[in-house]
Amino acid sequence: MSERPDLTYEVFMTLAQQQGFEMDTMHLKELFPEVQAMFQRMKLLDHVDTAGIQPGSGFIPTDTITPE
Amino acid sequence: MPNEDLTQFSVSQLAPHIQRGDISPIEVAEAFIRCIDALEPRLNAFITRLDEYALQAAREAEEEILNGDYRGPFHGIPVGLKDLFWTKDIRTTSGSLIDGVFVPTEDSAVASRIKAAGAYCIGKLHMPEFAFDGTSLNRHYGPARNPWDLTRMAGGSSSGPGAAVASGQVPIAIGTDTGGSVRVPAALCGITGLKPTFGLISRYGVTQLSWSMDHVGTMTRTVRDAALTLNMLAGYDSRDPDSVRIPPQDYSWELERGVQGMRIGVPKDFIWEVMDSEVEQAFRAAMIQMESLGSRTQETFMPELGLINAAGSVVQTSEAGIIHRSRVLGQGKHFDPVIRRRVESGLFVPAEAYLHAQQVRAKLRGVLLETLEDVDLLATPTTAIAAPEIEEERVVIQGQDVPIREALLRITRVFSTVGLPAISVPCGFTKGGLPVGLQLVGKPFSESLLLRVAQAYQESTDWHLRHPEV
Repeated sequence: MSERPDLTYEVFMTLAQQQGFEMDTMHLKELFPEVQAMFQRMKLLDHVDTAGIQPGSGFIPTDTITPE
Repeated sequence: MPNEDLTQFSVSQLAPHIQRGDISPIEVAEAFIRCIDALEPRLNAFITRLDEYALQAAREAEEEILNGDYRGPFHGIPVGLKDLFWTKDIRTTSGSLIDGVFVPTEDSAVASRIKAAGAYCIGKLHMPEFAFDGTSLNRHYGPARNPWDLTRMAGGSSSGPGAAVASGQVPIAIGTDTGGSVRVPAALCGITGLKPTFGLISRYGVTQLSWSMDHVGTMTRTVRDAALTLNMLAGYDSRDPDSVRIPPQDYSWELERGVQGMRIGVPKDFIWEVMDSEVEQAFRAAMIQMESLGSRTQETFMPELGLINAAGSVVQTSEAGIIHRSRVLGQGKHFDPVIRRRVESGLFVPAEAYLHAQQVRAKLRGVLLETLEDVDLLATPTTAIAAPEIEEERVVIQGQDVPIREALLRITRVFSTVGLPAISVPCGFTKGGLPVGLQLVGKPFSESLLLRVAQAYQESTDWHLRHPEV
C-alpha cells in the first residue's frame, strides 16, 4: 500500500463540510488534532500486508447447536 | 451469618442461607440499600437508584422461596447494571443527556436473564458518556470515585460497577467491555472482572459503542461468583447477530481442579514497554504463586500487539462514529467535549481504512491464536498502573510521559480487539494501598479453564477478601 499522506487542515475542513459538520472554526480547531491522531493510527496499519484476508469479528465454536 | 454485615458476602455465600430461609431476601435488599445510602454521597457509583423496585422484587422473591419455588443461586440477589442495559420502564441514560429521558419499553437480554434467575436490578450504575472512555469521568453525572482512595478514579467505562461491587453497595454488577471496560475498573477497584469470548453473552438491548468489539462482562467479588454469573447470562440469542450457538454449560464445575501442569505464557516486549514497577512486582509475585501451585510459566513472543491496538482503535472509533453520527452532528454541544471529539473523529475514517483495519485485526488474531497453541493461557498485569487521580491526564512511568488512557487500556485492548476471553483478579496492592490486577487470557470459549486457573490463584491468596474503608 502506498504511503498515506498527512492530513492537512484544509483537507480536514473539506471532509468536515462533506460530513455535515457545523463549520464552527473554534470547535473544528480542537477536533483537528484528534483526527490527525486517528490518521497516524491508520498510517501505522498501512504497511501490514492483508492480501487475501477476509475480516470477521467472531469465533465459531466447535460444538455449535444446530439451528432450529 | 444473620447477625453479620450481609453486604460483605459473595453471592455463593449468601445463596445457601437465602435458600434455607436463614436470611430473608428482604433483609438482603435492606442491607444493600443501607450501604448505598451510607456510601453513595462519597462514591457516586449510581446514576439511578431503584430502592422501592428492589424492595418489591425482594418481597416477591421471599414469597416464591417460601412457597418452595427456589430458582437458584441468584434468587433474591440484587444486581447492579451499568446504565446502558435497557431496563423496561426504568430510564437508561448511557451516561449521557443526549437522548433526554429514555425509558425502554423492553428489557435487554441481560436484564431478562437476571429476572428469570429471580434476581433484580437495585440500581443503574455510573459510566462515562456512551462508554467511550477508560476513566470514570462524566461531565453530566460527576466522576465515580475509587473506594480505596476517594481522590482516585474507579476506572472505566464500567466505573459504577467497579466502585459499587468493591465497596459492598452491590454483590455483583454487569458491565460492558469494548477495550477493557470491565477488566480495567475491576483491576483498579480490586474485584474480579470477566470478559467472555466475543458472542457468548447477548448484547441485545445494550447501547452500542462498537458492534464488532462490544462484549458484556461480569463484575464480582470472587471468581466463583463470576462463574455463577456467567451461567446465568451466557447463551444464544437470535436478536444479537454475533451471538454464538453454544450448548449451555456449568462454568463452575471445573473450578476446583487446580493448575497442576498448566502452561502459562507471559508475553515479552510490548506489555513491559510501559509498566509501573509496583504493578510489575505484584504481577511477578503472582506468577511465583502460580508456579507454587503447580503451573509452569514461560516467556512468549507475541508479535505486533501494538498494531492490534491501532487496528482496534480505528475500528472502534469508526463504528462509534456511525452509531452516534446523528446525535453528534445534531446535538454535539450537549456531549462531553472530549467524548464528542472522540466520536466525531470516527467520521473521518475512510471506508478503505476501516476495512483494512478489520483485515489487520483478522490477520493478527490468527497470529495470536497460533502463539496460544504453545500454552494453555496467557498472563499479564491488567493495567500498567494502579488507580490514577481523578482528573489526571498523563502519568510518568519509569521516565516516560504516558497518557492515562494509554496506561489503563493498552494491555486489555489487545484482547478485546481479538475477542478472546479474559479475566482480571486482584493480585496485590501498591505501597499506597491501591489494588493491582492480574489478567488471564484464554483461547476462544475456554472460560471454564480460565475460571479454574483464576480460582486456584484466588483461593491461595487473600487479596479478594480485603475490603476498602470508605
